[in-house]
Amino acid sequence: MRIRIKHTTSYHYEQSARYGVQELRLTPAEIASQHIIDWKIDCPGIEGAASYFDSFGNRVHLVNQEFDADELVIRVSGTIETRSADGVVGTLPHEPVPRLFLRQTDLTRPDKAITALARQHEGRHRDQIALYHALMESIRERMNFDTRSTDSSTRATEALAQGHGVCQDFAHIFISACRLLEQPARYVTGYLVMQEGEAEAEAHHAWVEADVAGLGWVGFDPVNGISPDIHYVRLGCGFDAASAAPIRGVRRGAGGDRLTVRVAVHSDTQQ
Amino acid sequence: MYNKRSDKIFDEMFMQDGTVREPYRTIESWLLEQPRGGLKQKSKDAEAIFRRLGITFAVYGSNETTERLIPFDIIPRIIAAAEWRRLERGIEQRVRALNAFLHDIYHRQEIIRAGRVPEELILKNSAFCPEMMGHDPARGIYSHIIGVDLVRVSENEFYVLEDNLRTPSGVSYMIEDREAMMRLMPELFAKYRVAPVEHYPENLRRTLQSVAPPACKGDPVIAVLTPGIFNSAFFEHSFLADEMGVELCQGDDLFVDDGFVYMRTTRQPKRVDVIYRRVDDDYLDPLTFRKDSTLGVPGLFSAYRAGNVTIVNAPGTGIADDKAVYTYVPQIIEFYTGEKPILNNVPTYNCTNPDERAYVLENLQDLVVKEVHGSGGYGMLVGPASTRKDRAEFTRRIKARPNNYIVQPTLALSTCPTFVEKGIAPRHVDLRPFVLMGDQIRITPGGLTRVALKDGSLVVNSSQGGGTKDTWILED
Repeated sequence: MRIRIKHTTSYHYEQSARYGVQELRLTPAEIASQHIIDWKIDCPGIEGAASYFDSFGNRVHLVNQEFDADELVIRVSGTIETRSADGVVGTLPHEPVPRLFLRQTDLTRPDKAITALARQHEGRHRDQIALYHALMESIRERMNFDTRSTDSSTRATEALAQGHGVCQDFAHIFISACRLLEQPARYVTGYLVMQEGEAEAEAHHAWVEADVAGLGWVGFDPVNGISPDIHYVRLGCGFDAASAAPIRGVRRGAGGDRLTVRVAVHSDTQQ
Repeated sequence: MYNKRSDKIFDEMFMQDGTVREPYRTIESWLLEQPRGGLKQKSKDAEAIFRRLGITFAVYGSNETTERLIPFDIIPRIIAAAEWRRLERGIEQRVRALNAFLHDIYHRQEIIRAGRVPEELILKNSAFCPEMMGHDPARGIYSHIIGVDLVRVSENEFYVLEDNLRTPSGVSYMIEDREAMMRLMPELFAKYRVAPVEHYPENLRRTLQSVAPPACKGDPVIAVLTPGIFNSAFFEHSFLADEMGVELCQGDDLFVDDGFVYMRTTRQPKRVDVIYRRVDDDYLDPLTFRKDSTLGVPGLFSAYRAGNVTIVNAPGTGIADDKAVYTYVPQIIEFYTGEKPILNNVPTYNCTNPDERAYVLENLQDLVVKEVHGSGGYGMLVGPASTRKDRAEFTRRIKARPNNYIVQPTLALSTCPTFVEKGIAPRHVDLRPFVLMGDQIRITPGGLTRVALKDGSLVVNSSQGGGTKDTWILED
């Protein structure tokens, strides 16, 4: 499936910023399930950006601006051809050892409730894939999708306790449980083609990859209860939402800011 | 003139039978020749010199004024050429192996696959820096500046207490101690051929130049990054920058533009290629590490990963001098060099093992307990000098968090004659030689001898009432 993406992130500053610097994890990798036809990042400072692979194998651009402006707009656009790969990502170039992703973070660290949720699956499934599917189902039983109840700093434990959240929260609970069961798991950011009845906010999506012996990384989307298919475009990965964040920035200048994100994802051919 | 502490403790100057060890013969006669009150006067003169130089250090956690002059002892610690050669070989072996370990840990982790070091110890260690995975620093070097803490227990036995691979300090004392000694006792330097230490800043500069990043084409520009004047080692940061003839910067003086690091100057900004940072990993870059840090430079770590600047020492070197990893250094040396370690490791008890913990708790009065992530002699228990109350407190702490402590036998640190109130008396010493690793390994002959000035004390840290001595390596 051919997918077109337009992703615009705008920061509106209360008072003009004088200097800003951002790390952009906004470049998808070529993998079995996706071929990049064209891709472009457009923002002030991109011409001189330093570019490198980070410790997770993500392509990063470091951009900065010397400016006196009250807004910063970062635009990403591109076309991706997706193919069915049953969620298998395998091993990317520049990747660290999978077991690195056993490290819990502040956002994923489990409590009693997550431990109980994970432990009920311990030793109960014939293989890792069955375990991950069962784990997804358990999370879907306990969690309602709700965009108003959590924010980017909500921990896995808090989301599970209140029983609702967004893709980030589902993913964090899944990751927390996997790591607790000594299964490496990581947070993945990307895009999802809207299907009828789905929440618009989920166009900018997040899911999980877990390590499967013999296959490498395999994607699981605990919000939708499936492995990513041709409607998914994978952007980058990390320990959790904070470490995989597509944009991370610091600026000089007083006052707060207002963030707006617009994501438009369309398939060329409706299937 | 001098009473040895006991026959069980090795003295740097006197042998068991009271004869003077070879390297100390000349100094012994010199000491005997000194008129009454002569040493006291020299000691006062020394203090005046240090006051003028303004060498102070800050003490954390004490209520009184925090700026203090570090006590200096006028009797040098002397090591013969042959003794030093063996130490040098041992140190070189150790730093090469630890560097290979760092490279491996941040790449394929062969040593974990081979089962020589437990995976959990590395991957879940707070000193492990996942952001460093897969990065190839210039020349493959992670720890460029190292201070290895050694203690001596007999004529031929040295132990490594700690490998300081993050941002070891104290080198300014080594240089200033020598300068003071040359002013105070020029006649002794005519009698002894003492290897010079004053090349250190020049060697440091060469080392830093040799690890310029791939993107640097011309003469590398070096800067020293300090947390600022409130840091306990600020004097040293400014001293080294001065001696090398490079800029001393704080985070605010540097900024990232188009992926390169620049220094603000009165004219146009100047690109910086190598940063000798004395700021801890956590504070280096608020984009990558602690968000609340104001000591670092936003974007610095990305510039580093992009190969546009070199950070010295590399972030994440702490995993190789972590006290829990220390236990494995002999295996680490064998794994990467195929050789037996030349320098000994202190046997270390692991409190998470029930048998070892039981032994530890039974024998606390004979043991030394250290916090895994502690430093500077804070939060430690020295069994023989402890009270019943101290031991009860540490028993409670070890039981509560067994993996937070390592425990070692109390080593009989060698003593060295030291000038104290009552005259010359034996005091326990250690030795921190300084190693530079770049285009070659440069070990400054000597180092910092720290001396526990309190009678019988084994804690040499300046924060705990320790002083320093000039360290002489004799040339053949």
